[in-house]
Formats: sequence, structure tokens, C-alpha cells
Amino acid sequence: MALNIDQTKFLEEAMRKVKEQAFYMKHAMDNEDLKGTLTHASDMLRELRTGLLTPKSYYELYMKVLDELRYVEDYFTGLQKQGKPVVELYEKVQSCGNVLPRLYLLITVAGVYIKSLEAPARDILKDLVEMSKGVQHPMRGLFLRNYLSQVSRDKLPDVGTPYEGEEGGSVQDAYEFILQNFSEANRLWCRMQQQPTNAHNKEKKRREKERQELRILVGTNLVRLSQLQGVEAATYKEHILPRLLEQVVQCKDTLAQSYLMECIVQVFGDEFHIATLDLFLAACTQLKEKVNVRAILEGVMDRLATFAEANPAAIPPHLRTFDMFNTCVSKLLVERPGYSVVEVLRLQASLLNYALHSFPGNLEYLNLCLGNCATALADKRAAHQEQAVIVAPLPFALDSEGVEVVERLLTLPLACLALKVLELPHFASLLEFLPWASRRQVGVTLLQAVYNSRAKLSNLESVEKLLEMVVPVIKEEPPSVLGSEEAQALRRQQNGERGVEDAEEEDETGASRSRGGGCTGSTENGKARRLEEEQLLLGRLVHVMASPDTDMHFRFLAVARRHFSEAPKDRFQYTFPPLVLATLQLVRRVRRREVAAEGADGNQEGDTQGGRAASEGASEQVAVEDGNGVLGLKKRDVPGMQFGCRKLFQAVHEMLTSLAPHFANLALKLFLEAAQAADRCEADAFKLISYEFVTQAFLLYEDEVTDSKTQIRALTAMIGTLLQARHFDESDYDALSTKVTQYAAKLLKKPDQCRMVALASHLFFVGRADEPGHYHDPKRVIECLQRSVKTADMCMASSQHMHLFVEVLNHYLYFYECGCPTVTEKYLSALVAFINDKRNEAALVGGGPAEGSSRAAEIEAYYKNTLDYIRLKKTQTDNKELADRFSAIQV
Amino acid sequence: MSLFGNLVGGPQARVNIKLNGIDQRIKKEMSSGRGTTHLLPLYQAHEGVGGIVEVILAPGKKLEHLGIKIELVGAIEMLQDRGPVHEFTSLVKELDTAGVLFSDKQYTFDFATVDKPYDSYTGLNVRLRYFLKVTVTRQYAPNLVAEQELVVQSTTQVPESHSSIKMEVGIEDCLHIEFEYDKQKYHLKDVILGKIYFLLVRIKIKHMELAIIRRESAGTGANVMNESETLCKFEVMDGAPVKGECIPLRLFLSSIALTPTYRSVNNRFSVRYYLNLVLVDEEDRRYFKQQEVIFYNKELG
Repeated sequence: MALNIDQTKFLEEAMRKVKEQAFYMKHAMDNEDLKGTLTHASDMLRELRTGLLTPKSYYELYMKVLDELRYVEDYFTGLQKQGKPVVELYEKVQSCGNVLPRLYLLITVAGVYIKSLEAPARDILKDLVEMSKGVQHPMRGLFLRNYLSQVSRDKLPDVGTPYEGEEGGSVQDAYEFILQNFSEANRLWCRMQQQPTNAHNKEKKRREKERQELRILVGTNLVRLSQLQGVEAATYKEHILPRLLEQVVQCKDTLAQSYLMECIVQVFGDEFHIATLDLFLAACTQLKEKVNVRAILEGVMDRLATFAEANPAAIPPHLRTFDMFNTCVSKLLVERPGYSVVEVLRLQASLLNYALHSFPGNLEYLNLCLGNCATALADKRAAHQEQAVIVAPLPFALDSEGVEVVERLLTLPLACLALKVLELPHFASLLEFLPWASRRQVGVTLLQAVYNSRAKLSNLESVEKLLEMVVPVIKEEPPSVLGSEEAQALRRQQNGERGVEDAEEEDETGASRSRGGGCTGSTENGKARRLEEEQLLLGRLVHVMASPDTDMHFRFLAVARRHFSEAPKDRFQYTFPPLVLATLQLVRRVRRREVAAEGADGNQEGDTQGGRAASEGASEQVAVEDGNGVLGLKKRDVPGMQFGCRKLFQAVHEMLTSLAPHFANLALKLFLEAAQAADRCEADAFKLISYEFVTQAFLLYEDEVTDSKTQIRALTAMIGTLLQARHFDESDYDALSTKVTQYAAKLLKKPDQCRMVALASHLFFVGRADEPGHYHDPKRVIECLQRSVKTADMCMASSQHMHLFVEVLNHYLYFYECGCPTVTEKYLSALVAFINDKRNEAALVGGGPAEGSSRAAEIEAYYKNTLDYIRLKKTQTDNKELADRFSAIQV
Repeated sequence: MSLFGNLVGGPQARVNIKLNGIDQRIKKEMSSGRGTTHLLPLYQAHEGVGGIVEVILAPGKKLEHLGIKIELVGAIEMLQDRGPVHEFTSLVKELDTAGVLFSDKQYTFDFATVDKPYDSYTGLNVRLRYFLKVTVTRQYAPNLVAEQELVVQSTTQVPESHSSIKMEVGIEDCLHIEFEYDKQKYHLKDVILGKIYFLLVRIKIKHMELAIIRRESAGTGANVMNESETLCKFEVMDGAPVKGECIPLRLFLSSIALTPTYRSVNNRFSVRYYLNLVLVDEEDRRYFKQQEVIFYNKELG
């Protein structure tokens, strides 16, 4: 604080003096008093000799002085234009007694001198850069040299400038000048750190900070070099870069090396880098231990990668850039055995990233990087275990940083490679080093990448591999071989500060109880949501597997099933449905093959088509007591096909059976799906399978489905399935539909009963009479409908009372229209009349009280529409018979 | 015409010395040693000094005299102790024998081969000067006297040897430097070029400067007076160099008031010059090394 106040004071004072002297100086200029001008200019410049200011304040002062020096320059230019030889001025300013003002003035005159072309630029520049050595104070020297650099900026004998020539010099002189100024500036800059101190850490830190603030003064020189028009890549390679690198390496200063290498990367053109990559990389291995070489390498890699992407032809293929980087990294690792394993991994990660961007699709490179990492980790583990025998029984584990890097290493190639990572043998080996949570994370990313790439898994090996890799997504971490206490310690060690895991951990320890239940709840929710997302992602995997060969496809599914089955049971709900549905889809393909084969056989043995009505004897199916097959059926194989539909259904059955105890509703629905699929196979052999599936669904309904709403949904699905199925034996169908009707009648709530029974009525009137496989049982139909009306009548209390009547009326109408013989106009007229009565009653009682709401209006409309429909039908002319029948209904 | 002029006697006559070609002659500013400076005609050692002495009478007067003579005197005088002036050269020429002048009269004179072995010089304690003195001796009235001071300067041939000064100096385990001045002998409009190499630096140097010191010793025997004077301080380096650093030096002499080096002028005085390289450390301790250089005149002025 005190320092700041002092700084302000010092700066203000210095500024004031500068302004004062500048004022006198300009006054002297106006009077054409050269001597006075120089005196006051020197006095003004003397303020820059201060040692009191921090770099920041000094910079402010410097800028102010530079502003004033512009007047001096103009003044000198004016004198020159008047015919005064600049050499006189050049000599005159050198009589100034203090070196710093003298040099500022000298540089100012020199600018005019070079511009006047009265002396060769080369000589003047040489003189300046040499004389500037007189200022050895690091900060003052740096600023002085910056001024030199700034003044000389547009006066270098570069190609195409007026200063170039026999005498004035060539671009070589230009870069020699900049190089020298650079190396002097850099030496001054490095020296700031080397100045002996009392080794207070604070002091050192402050100095380092100040150095950071001044670095641009050194870096500017590199910018100037890069701006020289006359420098070609060859010149850069032979004369410039070696000198720069020598300077960088020789200065042995961590800060300088880091900054300058970065500068070189940023400042010079891509073509230059390509031409000199070997030189640059060689220098990288010679830097100080603490220099972050990785950052530097990443810088070059980024540039080259970007460049290569923009100009694919620009990098000559014989220049094996990846190999060069790889060699550099290897060398670095050899020379710096002190590198932590994390740093090694990071280096490899950078390399890998480069390979990914510059050589997309080059798996060899990627594998090399991953292999290097795996080796490094294996070495580390070996060393650890050796030690562990003696010291600590903990198994080898990466720290959180290491985990992060490995995770990144493995995640990076995913986006671009997706399924191709399976071809990287080291990918899996590296994966093993990660803790479970991270492996899961990688697995998730892998899955996402696979989906994004829209690639298909089409061979068994890759299916196996991929599933192996995503095991952590499938399963929970297997209990450690160690005792629980140690395992916990290990987990803690592994997890470190890793987000979600950590939060969970805390919840367990109760350390975060104070945060309140809400927060904990949200974490729980978050966890559940994450789990759900992951599992859904996993489920999608099933759809990525594809093979033209149905057997192979089935094998894929079997492998997936094997893996999914190992998961905790609560995850089945996410992973099994896709499996089941995929299997059912496969059934269609398999069935097509079977039918084709049967068709071929059928030529000899008769037609097998025709569904339920078709003859059983014609097909090849034999009912066999199969020891392990629940479905108890076996079919002779289609030639060349190993897995027939039966096998598939069996698999589905097994899956659903294992799913059923935990997710009854889901299993029920899937059973029904499977039943439909089996039914679609349209062969008698599958009737039994279909029946079995439906039975299972019904059993589940009886045993597991207890919630009313769920029951309704299940029943609706069951009715729907039965309506779809056309190939059941009549007795079976009868049994099933009767059962459903009973379920419907046993529902808890009356309105539900009413609706479901009405719905069930449709089971007894399927298809038109002229259709094959139709099923008509008019008696049952009217029974159901009557029952519904009765039930509806019992629902007096329910607000749905009227609605139910209208609904039932509609069912009646349907059957009436379909020509169900038991449903006569008598029933319809009666029902309409009944409804009318009820309406009147309601109007009398309540006068349409609060009931006159939207709901009542809705019912009214429904009813009105229904009546309108009847009236419409009465007048319908295109179907005379139907119109006649409808006329019989009294509305 | 003044009333008292006649009574007191008034100046009956004036005496003027007019040097030949005075207008064309180079003039040099010369300090009289008491803070005043005059522009004086400049002669080289071998040049003759000639001219005219005018005796101008007041109108209507006559001048009775015992003789008129002109002297050319070269003298060394101590400025501080008012001691006797030592005349190392004194030449007298009779211009006229005793008689009476009734009108203005001019006499020509010419010291053609007079010896002017030394340069004019004005220092802190000593002055060497040349002057012409005309004396009109009178019997009763005080003599009429006129003086004209001259500046004598000799030029030296450019020395043939241009050997540089190179020297390594230091304090053990503390500071070792090697400095180099490009010449030993510089003319007065010359530029001193040099380099200072730092071979070992273990002290915190604040800055380095080069001073030119004039050492004048005047007098004889027990009365020798030594005086040192720093003519200029020229900062050469700001801040602390590190080992291996080489600092350039360039000093233009023309703006500094120098004289040539004089060694034992008439055994009465010497003027020597030294370059003093001074290093100042952060505790303001000064480390210095003096090195004599010879200055000489290459051209007049």
C-alpha cells in the first residue's frame, strides 16, 4: 500500500519535471536555440534515470518522454531540411554528460540521420546498438533498447526500402542489428532475476512479476524480425533461428526460455516453422528443467495442425512431422527422468492431439502414443508394487491429475475415431489404469462418439471389445480384493476432487448434512438422472450392431445380453427393452428366411401359408419335449442358418423372465409385443409361442399389477394385442378373451369396470364375417355391453356418469353398424331414452349448477355428436340397408 | 578643451600599437586569469611580430621625451602570490632617441626572429603570457606606456606512433577490468574512443564515468603549487554490468576547454592531463584508475 502511494508520488514528481523541461525545450526550439533545446531535452531525459519506479510507472513515464521526443525529432528534421548536416547534431548530442539521456538523444538524431540518407543506415545502426551497451541497468536498458527498436523500425535496410544499398546495407544488416539488440535486451532481462538478493521469496516473486511485465520489451524484437520483408525461410533457417535458439538456450533462464520459445512459435510464419522444425525441436530438449516444454510443443503443434488443415499440400510428406515430435518427446523424457508420470502422460496427450488433427485416421500414431502411456504407467506400477511390498499395501493408483490426463488421452481420439478405437490395442490397456468412475466416463464418451459417427458394429470381435470397454457403464465397480477399509481409502485417494463422486462421498460421511436435505436430494436426483442417461445410451448400442447375417446378428445380441445381464438388476429396465425389441425385429428377418426356405420345401410338401386356418400337417414343425426350452418347440433348421425364430423367441422369453420380477409392467408390455411378433410369424408352430407370451403377460398382470391405473393400461394393451392376433386356436383365443373380460370386470373402480368391459366386448367380434380368421360371439358382446350399462348406472356419484353412458352408447353404435346380431335397435333406443331421462333429471336437480362447467358442456357435445351421427346415418343414401337399420333407432 | 586639462598637464599624447595584418589574424579567447577574457591575436612560435607604433599628440601640444622603445616580453607569473614576474624573453627595440615630437609620429617595428618558445597559458596558479610594451620615457612626467597582449600557440606534428593505452586493473576477487583508450596522444579536437571490459564483477556498480583531470604544478623549489581540476565528467555506463560485458566509450574533446600538455615550461610550471576512469558502487565507494594522456594542438584556434 505504502509502495503504491510512494509510486504515485514519485511518478507525479517525475512527470511534472518532464513537463517542465519539455516546456522549456519547446520554448528553446521556437527561439531556434539548439544548445538550449539539447540542454532541456537532456534534463527531461534525466528523469528516466530514476530507480524509484516500478516497471509499470516507469513505462508511463517512458511513454510521456517518448511523446516529447517526437518534438525533438521534428525539430532535428527541420534543422536537417534547412541544410544543417546531421552529423554535427549526431556529434553534438554526445556531449551530454549522462549516458542515458545521451543515448536517447543519439537514437533520436540517428533516426533523422538515417532518414536523411546522409549516412549509411548500416553504420548508424551498428553504432547505436553498440553504444546502447552503456546502459547496463536492466530496466532502463530494456526501455532504451525498446526505444531503439521503435525508432529503427522503419529505417532498417530491408529489401525494398530506400535504406537498402551498397552502403546502406542489406537485409542481412537489418537482421543482424535486430538480433544483436534482441540478445542484449534478453541478457538485461535475464539479469533482473540473477541480481543477488537476500533471497526473500517475496522479493523473488515481486521481481519475477516485474520481469513478466517487461517481457514484451524483449519480444518486440522478435516481432521486428518477423516483419522483415527480405527474410526468406532459408535465411531464417540458416542465420536467424540458430542465433535465436542459441540465445534462448544459453540464457539458462526459465522465464525467458518459456516466453521466447512461445514468441518464436507465435511470431514467425508457418512455412518458417516447417522449414526449421528439427532445429526448434532440438532446442526444446535443451531447455531448463522447469520450462514447460509441453506448452511450447503444443504451441507448435497447434500452428502446424491448423496450417496443415488449411493447406493440406503445404507440408511436404517426406517431412515426417509426427516422428519429429515423437523423437523430441522421447528425448525429453530420457533427459528428464525427473518428469512425473502425469507430465509424461500430458506430453503424450499433446502428441496424440497433434496426430489426431494432422493425420486423421492414422491409427499407428495414436496407438504409439497410447502405448507409450501404457508403458509409462506400467513402469510406474511396477515400481510402485516393488515398493508396496515393503512400505504400503495400497495398490497402484493414479492421482486425480493423472486420471484426468488419461481420461483425456482416451477421450480425445473418440470423437474422430469412434469405432476405430477398437483397432488400437493400447486403448484398452490404458483404460485399465483408470479408476472405475473414469472408465465409465470414457465409456460414455465412447458410446456417444460411436452414435455420432453413425458407424455400425458388424463383427463379433468388435462387439465383444466394445462391450468390454464399456463394462464400467454396464456394471458397478466390483468389490475390491482388499479389505473394505483399504478399499475405501483407495477410493478416496482416487477420487480426490473429482466432482460428482466427491459429492456422493460427502453425503455418505454426513459432512455435508448442514447443507440440508434439498441439496442432498438434488444430488441423488442428479445421480439417478445420470444413471438413466448412461443406461439409455448403453441401450442404444443394441441398435448399432448390425449384420446381414441373422445368425451373426443374433450372436451380437447374445453377447450384449450376456454383458447386460451382469449389471445390477435395476438397470435391466433400460438395457433389456432394446435387446428384446431388436431381437423381435430380427425375428422378422429370420422369419422371412424361414418362409423362403419353407416355400422351397413347400413345393414338394404343400402350401404352408394361410395362418390359423392353414393345415398343421403340412409344416415341418414337430412338437418335441425340449428339456430346456420353455417353449418346448424345436424346428428343423433352415440350411445354413443356425438360429431360427424359435431360438430367438426363446431368448426373448428368457430375457423377459429375468426382467419380470423387477419390472412387471415393462415385462408385461414386452411379453405382449413378443406375442404379437410371434403371431405375425403366421405359422401354427408360433401360436403356442404367442399363447405362452400372452399367458406370461396375464400371469404378470395377476401377480404383479396392482395399481388401478396401471391395470387399465395393461388391460388396454392386452385387449389390443388380442385384437391384433389372428392366429390363435379358437379355444385358446376364447380362453384368453374370457380371461381379459374377467379382469376387466374385477377392476376396483366402477367407471374403470364399465369402460374396460365395454372395450373387452370388441374381443368377441373380430373381423368381418367374410374375412378368414374372424371371430364372432354376439352373445358375449351384448353381455359385455349390458354389463357396462349396468355398471355405468351404478356410477351415480361419479362425475363421469353421463360420460360413461355416452361412451357405452358409442360402443353399441359400433356393433350395431358392424351388424352384430345381438345388438338391436331396441337396445339403442332404450339407451338413448335412458340418457335423455338422466339429462332431464340432472337438469331438474341441479339446474345445471356448478356442473354447468366445461366438463358438462363437453359431455353435452359428445352426446349431441353421437346423436347427430345416428341422424346422419339415417339419411345416408349410399348404403340403403344401413340407413334403414339406423332409421329404426329412436332418438 | 577641458579647463583643467592644461593645468594638470592632461594627456599630451596617446600611444597605439597596430599589429600588421591584425584583421586577418586568428583571434583566440584568452582568460586573463581573473575571470575576464579577451580576444587576442594569435601567433605561432616562429612568426615574427611586426607593426606600427603610433604616437598621437593632443592638438597643439608637443611631446618631449627621453626616448621611445618597444619591448616584446614573454613572462611567467604566479597568480596567487604576486611574486616576481619571471621574464623568460625580453627583447627591446629603440624606436626613437630623446627629442621632441611636434606632431604625430609612427614607428614601424618588427621582431622577426624573436624566440617564443612557449604557448600562452592561463591556469589556476600560473600564467604565461606575451605582450608588446611601448614606453615613451619622459623626464618629469610619467612615462607613456602602451601594451598589447599576444597569444602564442604552437602546433605539433601529428605524432607518428598511435599506440593505444591498454591496461588491466582490479581489486582481487572483487573487480577486474581492462580498459583501452585508442591513443595515448590526442589533439584537442579529437575523439577518445575506448572500451572497458569487465573481467570480474563482484561489487554492485551503480555507474561508471570518465573524467578528464588537469594537474597543474607551478613554482620552483619549495614554492611548488600543485592544483588538480576536473574538467569534465562523462558518464559512460549506467547500472551494473556482468562479467564479460564490454562497454564502449566515445568522448568528443572539442567541447571541453583543454590546453595541450605542457611539461616543465621554463622549469616553472607543468600542465598534465589524466583520464580518470571511475566506478561508483551502490555504497558510493569510488574505484578509479588515472591514466595520463597527452594533448596536443593540431591546428590553431
